[in-house]
Amino acid sequence: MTSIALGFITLLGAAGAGQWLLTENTRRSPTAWAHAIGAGILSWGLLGLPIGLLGLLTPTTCAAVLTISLLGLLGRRLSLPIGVAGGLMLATVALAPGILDVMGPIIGADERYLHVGLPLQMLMENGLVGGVLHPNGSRPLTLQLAYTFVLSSGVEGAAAGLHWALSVATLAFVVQLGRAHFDSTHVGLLAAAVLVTSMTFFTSIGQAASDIPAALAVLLAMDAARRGDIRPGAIAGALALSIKYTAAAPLLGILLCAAGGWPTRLKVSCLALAAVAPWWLRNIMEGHHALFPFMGWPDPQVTFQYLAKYGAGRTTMDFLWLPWRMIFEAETDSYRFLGRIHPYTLMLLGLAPLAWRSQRYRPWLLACALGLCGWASGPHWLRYLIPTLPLLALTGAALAAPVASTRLRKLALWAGLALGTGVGSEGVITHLQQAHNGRKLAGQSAIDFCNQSLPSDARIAMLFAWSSADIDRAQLLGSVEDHVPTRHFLLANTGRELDALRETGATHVLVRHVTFLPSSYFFLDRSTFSSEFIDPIDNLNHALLMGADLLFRTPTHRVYRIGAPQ
Amino acid sequence: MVTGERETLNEPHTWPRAQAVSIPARAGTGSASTPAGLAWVADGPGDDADLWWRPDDTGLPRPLDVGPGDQHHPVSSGDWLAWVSSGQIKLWNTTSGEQQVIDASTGFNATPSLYGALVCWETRGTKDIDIACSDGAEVTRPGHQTHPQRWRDTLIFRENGRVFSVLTSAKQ
Repeated sequence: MTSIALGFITLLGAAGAGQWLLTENTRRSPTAWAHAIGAGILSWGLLGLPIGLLGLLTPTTCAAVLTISLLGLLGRRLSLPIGVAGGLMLATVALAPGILDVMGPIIGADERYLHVGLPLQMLMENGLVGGVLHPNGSRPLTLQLAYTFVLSSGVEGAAAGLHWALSVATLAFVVQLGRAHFDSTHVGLLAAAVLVTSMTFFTSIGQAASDIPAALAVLLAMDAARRGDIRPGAIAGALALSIKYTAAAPLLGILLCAAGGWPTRLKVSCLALAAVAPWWLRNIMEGHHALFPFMGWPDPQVTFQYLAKYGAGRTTMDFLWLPWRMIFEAETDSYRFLGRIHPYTLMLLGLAPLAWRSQRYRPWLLACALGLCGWASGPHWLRYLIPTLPLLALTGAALAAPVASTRLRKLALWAGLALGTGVGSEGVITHLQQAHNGRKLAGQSAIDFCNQSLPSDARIAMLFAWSSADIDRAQLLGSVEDHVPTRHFLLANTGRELDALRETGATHVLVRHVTFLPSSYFFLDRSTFSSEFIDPIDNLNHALLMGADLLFRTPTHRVYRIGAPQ
Repeated sequence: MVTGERETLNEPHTWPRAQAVSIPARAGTGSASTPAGLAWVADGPGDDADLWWRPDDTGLPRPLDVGPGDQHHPVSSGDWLAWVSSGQIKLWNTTSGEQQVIDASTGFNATPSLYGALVCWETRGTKDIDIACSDGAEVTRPGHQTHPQRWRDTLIFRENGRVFSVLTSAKQ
């Protein structure tokens, strides 16, 4: 429970720091508490950037930032309406099963290599990491720096605890927005229920991740846009973009219908982009593309994501069938959407044509439409839809509210929700059981070997391996998407793999046995598949046999010593 | 036969015995046993591996081969024990005390094979991995030949995911 307590304390700290960035007007609004949290997290990112660049990212600095942020609560008083307190309590109860995940081991791939793994590496290096050897560190690290601050406490589940607390805040904010923008608590409650009964949302809450925080930022942007409030709108936009670039799609919809006309929209856009720009400047100054690692890999070119791998096809017919398939044909354990969402997420939006003319609904519908289109244009995994998911749920619930005007219709609406839970919540029980039982990690014995038998100053090249968070030694490379960092490094150094690794300072190599199946890359011709996926592995195995010492081997992992540069 | 006076000990008591010295085995490594005792690999300084030995007669672990570099890959056959020790393969008859040393740069991948006092090991060629044996037998051909196993004049090894067997007595 220490993780949960730390998560809530950190949220308070964020609110304490963030409220000083809000205008008096915003601080008196009923949604000020959420805007303060968002502003606090953004400010930590912008503060953490120079701290990290100066090599001062130590537990002491992190503790100082959190303490000063908490002291920020003393100077001014944020308004927290009673309804919000009730919403927070309700959300805490609804999301309580996620605490099992928080208290369990770190098992999510993303938290292992990115949301926990990267902060732990930064704490080990006392600064930011980035570039082709640490491509995950070249993203905007707003959220990861917040995780770094809380992980500096030494509590393993602290980042997951913060994420869980953010999820509670998000759900409470959804309930509040229902009342604030549609004059109905029922709208907010229905939207929150749709989210909780969507497996993709629910199973994410107890792991350190970025999707739900991005969703909170998108909701903050929508709230500010509807109020015509420039500063919190810009802060929320910058927060969303610096957490997850894919939030750009719903943000564009929000911007296009923001109150205040084009001068206001332009001003908000410029301010938001200016707050993300330091991360782009950092990449440019380090000789990379501003949007690295998503774009601008140096030669040899590698495709960051093969979109055809995800979902259920990308032909015109596939896109026409997409709304049906993403609900009813999604699978929780495969590339076919990897998750489940409640049918209401899209079904209730069927009323959209009737509401398009309404000034009240149109901005929400536009944001939903662009959010959905943005998701459809990217990889078809349902968790990538999470930044738009609360918007979809709220808009759908708001559209259904006038229809469910009588008690009987309202009852039918909630009965439909219960009925759809079987579809939306598939896989939740399995996930919670795994969290409760503590799923055994593949390669745990190799991880134990690295932690027990390698010298404390070892520097491990993680090849095709996700397990960054589990190893308490300095690391480089690691994985993301199709193991792009490892594959790019091997392709760029064909024939001199080990020498190149030694030149980076690596002393050891952890290799995960990986098998790329041709059937998963059916869209690639045989020679491309071979040169991009098979040859690098063969070359690496040859180089390791010829020049490295095998220290540890299991069927899934191997650990080698590669020694100093020769 | 035990002789002498019998003395009654006060209750409760424990039988006097030497404190067991625990030298944990390095994760992922194998041990080798002969009728005289057990050899195993332990963590040394840095990422070095050291070899330890526990003779059956005393049961007290003692270092068998430690120092800079790796002393590892113990393997046994009958009374013979062999292991890789920094550029050498060392053989020790744990009953007679006879010792042999073979210069061999191996131990980078798989454990050598021991059949009696006959040892086979992986060796790095200029282009790939080959196999050599202490009786002069060797397998050198394109591709990596690894994981030797010797039984009489039969040498079994892996190559490109397949298992091969050759008779060392046959002319290659």
